[in-house]
Amino acid sequence: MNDIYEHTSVIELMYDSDGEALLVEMEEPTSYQEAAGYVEWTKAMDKDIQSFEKNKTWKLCQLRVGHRPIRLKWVFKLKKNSDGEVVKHKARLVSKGYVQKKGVDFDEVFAPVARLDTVRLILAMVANRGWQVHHLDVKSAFLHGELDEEVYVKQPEGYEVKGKENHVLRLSKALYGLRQAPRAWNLRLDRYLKKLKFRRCASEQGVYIRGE
Amino acid sequence: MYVDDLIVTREDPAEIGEFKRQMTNEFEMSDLGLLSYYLGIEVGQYKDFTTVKQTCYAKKILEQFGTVQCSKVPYGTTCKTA
Repeated sequence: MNDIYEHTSVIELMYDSDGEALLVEMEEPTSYQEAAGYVEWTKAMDKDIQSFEKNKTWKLCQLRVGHRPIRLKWVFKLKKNSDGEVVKHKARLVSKGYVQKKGVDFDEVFAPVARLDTVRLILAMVANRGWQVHHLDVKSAFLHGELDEEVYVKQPEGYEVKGKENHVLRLSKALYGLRQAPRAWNLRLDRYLKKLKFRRCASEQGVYIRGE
Repeated sequence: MYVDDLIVTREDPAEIGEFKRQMTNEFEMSDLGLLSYYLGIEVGQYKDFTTVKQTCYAKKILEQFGTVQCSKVPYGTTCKTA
């Protein structure tokens, strides 16, 4: 029985404009064209675009000679709760960073992360002293990363500016999929933590210390 | 820190709170409170002791390799000093 449940996709009852009931299989679209017809997905894309505008991620301009714009792609995800009910439609614009060339579109990609041993060590020290450990998460971290390189992307599908269809977007902040996105984020975080008087541990770059 | 996931500790909890405020001023953050799960490690923080385990991670590995149903064999984990 469980097997049948697991292998049957969710069917949702939808009504079209004439009030006729339609049986529609709710799946994740794989392209803009597939998603464009659905209000929920259109809303999700609008929301993503708004966050880029709020974040001042890009500026519409003409492509400078010698540069190539990176293509963008919409990725769609259904968020479900533990009962398998759809709770959110999520659309995320990603760049096809795999076409980027080192030295042209980006220089460095390395971003340090803490090692598992370090985490265990910190937990052991903290347990020994009876301190508390708290947990924080930065929302859409990569989108905070500021870019040093000149990176252009094509306008996102469905959101081309009328009359300026052949213009491109010059990025000032990173997008998901961009090769330098992790590093750009790390530099931004590093700068801010240092401003807060943190010192980066020389032998383990994922660790910062403040005070003594 | 692990990309966008970070843990913080300090003797004085008020200073942890201050750090959270400083981070929230600059970035959009989720405060996940007292640490309970980080990089696959399950953490329990109690009044007099702390626990760490990787039960979920171990189960995931067993599932991945289709060995969930295999019989269990005791394996020595006690440390011995020479």
